Amino acid sequence: MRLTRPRPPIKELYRLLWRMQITRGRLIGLGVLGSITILIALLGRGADDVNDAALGAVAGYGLGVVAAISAVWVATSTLGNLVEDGLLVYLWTKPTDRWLIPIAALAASLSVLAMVVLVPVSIAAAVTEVDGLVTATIAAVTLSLAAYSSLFVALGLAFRRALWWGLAYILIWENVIARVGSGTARFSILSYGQSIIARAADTEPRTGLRSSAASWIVPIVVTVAGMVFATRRLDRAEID
Amino acid sequence: MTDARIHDTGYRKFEGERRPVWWAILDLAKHGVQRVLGLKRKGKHKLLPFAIIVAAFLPAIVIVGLAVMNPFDDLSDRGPQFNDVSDVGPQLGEYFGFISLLVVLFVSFVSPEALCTDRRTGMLGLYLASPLTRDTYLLGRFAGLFAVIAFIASGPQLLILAATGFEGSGPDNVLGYLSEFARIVAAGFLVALLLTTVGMAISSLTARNGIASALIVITLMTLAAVTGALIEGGGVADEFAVFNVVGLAESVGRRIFGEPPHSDVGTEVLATPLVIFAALAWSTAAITFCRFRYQRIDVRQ
Amino acid sequence: MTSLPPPPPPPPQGGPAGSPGLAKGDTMIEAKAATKWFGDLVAVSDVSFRIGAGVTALLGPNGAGKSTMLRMLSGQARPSRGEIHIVGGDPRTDPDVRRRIGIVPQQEAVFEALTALEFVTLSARLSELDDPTSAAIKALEIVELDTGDKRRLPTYSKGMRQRVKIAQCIVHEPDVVLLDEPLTGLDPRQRLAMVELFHTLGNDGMCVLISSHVLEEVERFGSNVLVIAKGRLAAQGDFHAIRALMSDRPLRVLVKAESARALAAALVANEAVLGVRLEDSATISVEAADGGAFGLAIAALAQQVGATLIEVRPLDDDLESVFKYLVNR
Repeated sequence: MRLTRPRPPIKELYRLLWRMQITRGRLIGLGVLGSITILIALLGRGADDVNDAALGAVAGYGLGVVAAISAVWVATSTLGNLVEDGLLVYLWTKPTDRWLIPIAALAASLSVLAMVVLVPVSIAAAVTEVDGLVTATIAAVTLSLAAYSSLFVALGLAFRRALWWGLAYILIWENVIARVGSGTARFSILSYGQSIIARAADTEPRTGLRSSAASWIVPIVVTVAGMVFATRRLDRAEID
Repeated sequence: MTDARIHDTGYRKFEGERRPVWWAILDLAKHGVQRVLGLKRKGKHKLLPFAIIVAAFLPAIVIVGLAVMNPFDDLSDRGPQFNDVSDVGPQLGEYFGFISLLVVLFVSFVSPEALCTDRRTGMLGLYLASPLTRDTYLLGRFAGLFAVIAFIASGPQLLILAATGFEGSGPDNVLGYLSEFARIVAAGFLVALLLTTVGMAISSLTARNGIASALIVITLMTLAAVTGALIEGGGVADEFAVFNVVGLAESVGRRIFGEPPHSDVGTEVLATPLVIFAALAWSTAAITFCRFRYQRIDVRQ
Repeated sequence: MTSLPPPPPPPPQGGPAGSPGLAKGDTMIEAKAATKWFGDLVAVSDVSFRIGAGVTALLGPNGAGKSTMLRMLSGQARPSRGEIHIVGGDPRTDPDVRRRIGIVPQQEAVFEALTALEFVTLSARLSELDDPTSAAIKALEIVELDTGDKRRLPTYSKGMRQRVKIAQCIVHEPDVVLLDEPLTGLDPRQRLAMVELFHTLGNDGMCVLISSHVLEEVERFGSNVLVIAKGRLAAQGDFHAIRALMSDRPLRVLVKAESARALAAALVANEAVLGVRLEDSATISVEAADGGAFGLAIAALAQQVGATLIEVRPLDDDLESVFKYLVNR
């Protein structure tokens, strides 16, 4: 049989991992979770401080809870389930470049998260009727989802209980320690996203970390670092 | 005539006395405690549960440490705000609120570990092939989970109570200590009952540990966010705060200790009987749902 | 295609090589003092062998180290010490080597979102074939599965899933095929068909290494075996030849003859014989120190005492006896 080196099979890997993520239960669960952001944003329109309520709905619940937890759920399982079920062997032992696997996993995770997180949280930003919030929300959520997904795809390869470790990170680090002040907030993905939204809502970010160039650069750096780590991990891994 | 003989070493039916089924339930509870805490297993299995337990006990340990190293008089030298050792940390009734996220995280780990693992590995089928029924299986698992969650929910407060006794700033007499002890146990019982049953109900939805963990965290955090938003922005009745499970758990502790309610959790306007009733109602509904799920689960051997 | 330098003894096992670029007798799998440990547990210890084209069975009891050995051969696990070469390269790091390996892992899980054709096509695509769909259809036909079946893999029976796994393994016509317990879940007819398929692949020049702990299965794969016991390579080669090498273990032979008692008495006097037991009036079981010498002596002795030989049959020349001896010694 003639063997060639055609285009890298990134599309096939992406389609496989994407289809594995699209389960009815997961879509409904995450869809409901995302839709609650819209409900909270609607309710916030009746609050005394509309901008603060909008920040709470979009940056607090939408980004801090929906985006973070959906990302940890989806991204850790993209490769984590393959490891857990012993299916990674079917990809890992092929001649395909191994860096394609985490890239495809990141793309698949982001596709799912765009549907169940980005869309409802952006709608939530729109219903608050705060000027400029939609664009800032789209940017902040996209950057945060990319960073979270990359981090959690790598985490899924590194730990058997990646989902739980991810949840612990979200709950303890992102939602408690990072809120202590701008010092710890510098090591929090959520803080950078929230600072972008807070600036658009013209309110003080709850972590005290103000929007700056770092708010855009750090999530991108984390995304790249996560992919590099995942690729190195795959290269050195012992597969069941 | 000789005494020599060859014995049959083949299968023999057990003819001894068999213990009643509650022994099996107790064994299951004991195994549940061992499993979720990683006891009798390698160190990596102990890492997660003990990391949370240590984190939850840390404030109490600091308080005890201060009590041991700094008697009351030394501590009061640091300023008027330090009248006794309990002033440097959360009050007994506040303690659960202080560690509520850790406890939620703990519940999100231990409940799926106890329930989902049995379904995923097929152990549930083996248990149900024994004298255990689905109900007695759930009872055994509940007992184990309740024990560890009650430990993390009330253990630190008991440690602080002991420290105040050691330091001399606690209740004036034995009756006072017994009263505080009873409050801690009662609060721990209600909080553990609420979180154990809710954790079990959510874990009954899936056989995957990770998904169950995520569902528990998502459910509890979303309930808190939604009830808060509905009450603050939606104009719904304050009583709606009973749907905030974590807030309810926090309020239970405060009410039992007679401390002022925390305004952040939304349950501050609720009457104490309603808080306790809501906690019991949640527990009843959750365990009923869990039982309903387990009556319908297909068991593979 | 990379070829190894001329191999030192023992020469590679296997039949004729038919794959382009591979000469008859070329070493396709080579383990050099391969060792794998997990903490304090030594799973595979100092194993060396060479295999060429043809079917070879990797035999050993549960926990002997077969799966660990296969994982090292496929590159899934890194040897703690020693080297593994597949068609001359490192399967962990060399994509060209990986392109020439097909694997059927032991685990039952398959991609739940895919149909059989999608799964095998994916395997073909990842193996960089230029017409993956045609290759997948061909592979599925070989394992007798319906290529038009739209059902997803979880709805398949265990045996059907196993055949899908075999199809994805052979879809790219690899030079080296590594199969971990491949007949699990198959019914007897499918087992026969798969054994026949493995022989065909071996005869076509592929190096087929099949791990199993079921002796009846292994006997069907042929006589070439690698026996692993307690992590060590206990024996390799044709199991009849391995039996012949067991000089420290007497050969048990069943002899049926008329005048068996007289023949038994004559056998006792023969130097090649260690023990004789008269089973009944026409049957003797003999323990012989030297199988060859016994074979030469029995006919002459029978003629000498006027006994007519009806049957002479070795009792422990089968794979089970060889295996029991190797793993228990």
